[in-house]
Amino acid sequence: MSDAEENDKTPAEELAEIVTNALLDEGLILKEDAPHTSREIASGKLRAEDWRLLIEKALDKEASDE
Amino acid sequence: MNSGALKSLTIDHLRGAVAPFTLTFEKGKKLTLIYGENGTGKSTICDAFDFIGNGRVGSLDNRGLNRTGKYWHTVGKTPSDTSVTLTLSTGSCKATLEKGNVLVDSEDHRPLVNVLRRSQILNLVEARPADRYSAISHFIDVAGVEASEANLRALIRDIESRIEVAIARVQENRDTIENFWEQAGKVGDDAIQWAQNEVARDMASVEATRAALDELRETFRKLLSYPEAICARKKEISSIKAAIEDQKQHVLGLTEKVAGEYVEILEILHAAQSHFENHPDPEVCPLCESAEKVAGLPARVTERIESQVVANQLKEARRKLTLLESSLEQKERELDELINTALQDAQKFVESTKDDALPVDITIPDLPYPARVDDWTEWLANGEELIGKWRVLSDECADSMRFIEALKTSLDTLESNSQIQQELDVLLPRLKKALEIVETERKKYTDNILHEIANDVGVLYEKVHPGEGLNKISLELDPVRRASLDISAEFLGKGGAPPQAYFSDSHLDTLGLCVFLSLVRREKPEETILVLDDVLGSVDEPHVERLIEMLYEEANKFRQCIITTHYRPWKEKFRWGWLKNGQCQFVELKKWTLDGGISLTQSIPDIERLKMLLEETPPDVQLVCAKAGVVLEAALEFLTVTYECQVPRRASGRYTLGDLLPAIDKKLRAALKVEHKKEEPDGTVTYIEKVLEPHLNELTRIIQARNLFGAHFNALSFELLDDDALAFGKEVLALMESLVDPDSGWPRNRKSGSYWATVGETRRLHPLTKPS
Repeated sequence: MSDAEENDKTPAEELAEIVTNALLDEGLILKEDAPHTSREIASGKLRAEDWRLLIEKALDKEASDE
Repeated sequence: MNSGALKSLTIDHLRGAVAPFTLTFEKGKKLTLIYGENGTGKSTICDAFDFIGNGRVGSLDNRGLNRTGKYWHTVGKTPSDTSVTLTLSTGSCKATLEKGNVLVDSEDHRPLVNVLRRSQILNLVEARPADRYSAISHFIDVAGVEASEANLRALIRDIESRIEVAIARVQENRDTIENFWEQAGKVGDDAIQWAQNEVARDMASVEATRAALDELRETFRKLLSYPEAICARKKEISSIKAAIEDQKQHVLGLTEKVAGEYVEILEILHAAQSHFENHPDPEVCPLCESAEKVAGLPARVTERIESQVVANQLKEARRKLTLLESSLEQKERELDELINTALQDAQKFVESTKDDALPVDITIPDLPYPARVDDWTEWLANGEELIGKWRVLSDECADSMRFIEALKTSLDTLESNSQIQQELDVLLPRLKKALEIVETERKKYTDNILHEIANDVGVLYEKVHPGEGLNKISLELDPVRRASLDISAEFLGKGGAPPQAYFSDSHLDTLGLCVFLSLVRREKPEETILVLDDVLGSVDEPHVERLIEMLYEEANKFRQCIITTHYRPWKEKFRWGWLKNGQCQFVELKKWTLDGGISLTQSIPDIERLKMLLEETPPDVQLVCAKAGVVLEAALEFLTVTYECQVPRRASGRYTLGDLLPAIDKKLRAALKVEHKKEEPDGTVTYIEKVLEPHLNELTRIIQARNLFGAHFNALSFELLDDDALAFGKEVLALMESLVDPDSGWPRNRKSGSYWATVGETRRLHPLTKPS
């Protein structure tokens, strides 16, 4: 992403990125889900069932890794 | 990025621009200071930026004019005459007015413009919290994140509710199984284990027993009706046989009444009657072919036939007898079939009794069954009772199956709900953690931005009001009301004080300006033209200079900054180089006229003017000496104040060159030196030292030139050369060029602790204090 695009981020997009990184750090979501999660959080389109799926996917991955 | 340097702004027939007016921007100067008395056109220039950048003319807002569009064009002109053209280093943009709308010919070059007017300066400070929030909402607008957060919160509530339901179901099914267990006599130690064992039982054998019992019942039930049915059939046959015998007797009686030949004649008569139906008028007898008595023969034949009644009765009796005999045959066949069927069904029953699935201790009729169906009556005597017993056994099997099914359902529901509960118990903490992250980060994010804004406001405010302790500005979102922003400050140690309640008008104005600047500079300042229209209005004198210095600093952050003012000291300080005027372009507006509209006048710093006078050919020595004298007075005033030199005390407080020049004594003169900053292209900084003593000593020697040439008419000047006057002017200029930086002004800052410096330390004046 260029600097110009970086600067053009809305507050919601900036915050969504921060939130997504924090969720990733806590292992609550998978890395491959991060980009679209960030976009959907910012746009308000992350529905309840989407949240559940995200968290469950990370849980499943964790269980299979164990 | 739309950030080409501004070259000029041309205004045609907008507001006060009755004639085309062009403002040319000096290259490299990011601050343009427009000075003018009231009514000179300052606001029209601001309106022009507002017009081209925002499509509006804000100076007319809030004046009770409702729709202001009809007042935008100059009186006597039409909207179509109105235009504003901004010429940039990268192109140009022209805005025109069509049908009340502002159209621009190049969106690519259309500038971002942010205008703050005197009348708006308190808008943000005095606004209602909701309006204040609205003004800055786009910096903290995270509505999308809030919506996603709300969805997550709703999911958590839903999961919590599901867990409650699962727990209730688990308990409910445990209770059900406990009840079953108790009903079953509490076999084993644990109801669940018992239920699992029960469910694991082979239900196929129970089902097979039930099916075998049902089959036994059905096959046996069929046998029950046969004895009665066969008996009835036999009675019927007997009855028919008796009827046949009776009929035979009847036929015999009739036969005796009718002679055998008579019967033959009757048959001949029937044949003749049939013949006469086709030949109603015979000429001869069809039997003997005689014509005798042939007349009326058909009628006579008919009469004879009708007279034969007994013969007819005999015929009918014979027909009935034939029918009875036929019926007897039929009934006897049917009886045989019924007996065969009964025997076959009896065999089926025998087969059903051999089913291994039947209970071992079941009661069944004696076998083999009687060979004659007629003998079954006794054999089937307790048939209904047996069938009832077998039904009870079958129902018990069905009940057992239903019970196991119910138990299995309870067990399944218990297990599935236990599993749901376990899964949700794992999921819920993660969802809550996710929500905590979203909530925390959102609050932190908005708080940080508000804190940054508030901090920026405080920093700016402190520059204008240093040490007053009013810089602890706070912006906080109302935790109860949505989209509501409170502003507060610390006043006399009291936090959370609304500035509107405690600050003076002047302080509020400064605060409003600081809030505006801190917000505007967050939003692409390098692309924004900042326009401040007469915002110094009510700022009191001690703070104006610091406010101006602050505005100089802030201007550098923007693509261009336009400040209009009617504050005269600013003009004077510019003239005397007391401001960092080199950073800015100073524009002075002349009085507005109906014919000429807005126009400019030259405003040149006095040092620059002295230089220009010296360069004139031929130079005007009187003007040179007069200007040099005034400039020298300013320099000596600066030095004597800076070093606290002794001068004669006068009631008027006015000092002449004769007072000031000697006040700088030998020690101070010897110590006075100015370092000039020199920055190499590679960034290396060096300082070149200039001493002031030679200039001061020389000026002391030729100071009379000022009075002789520049102050008054003096005949003594006739005896002097023009070069003496010019030498005075040049020496003053040399002193000023050593002392003052044309870009950064005078070295007035002593923060270093060892010298006086200009901003950026382009000049460093030594010593810091007067040598003792």
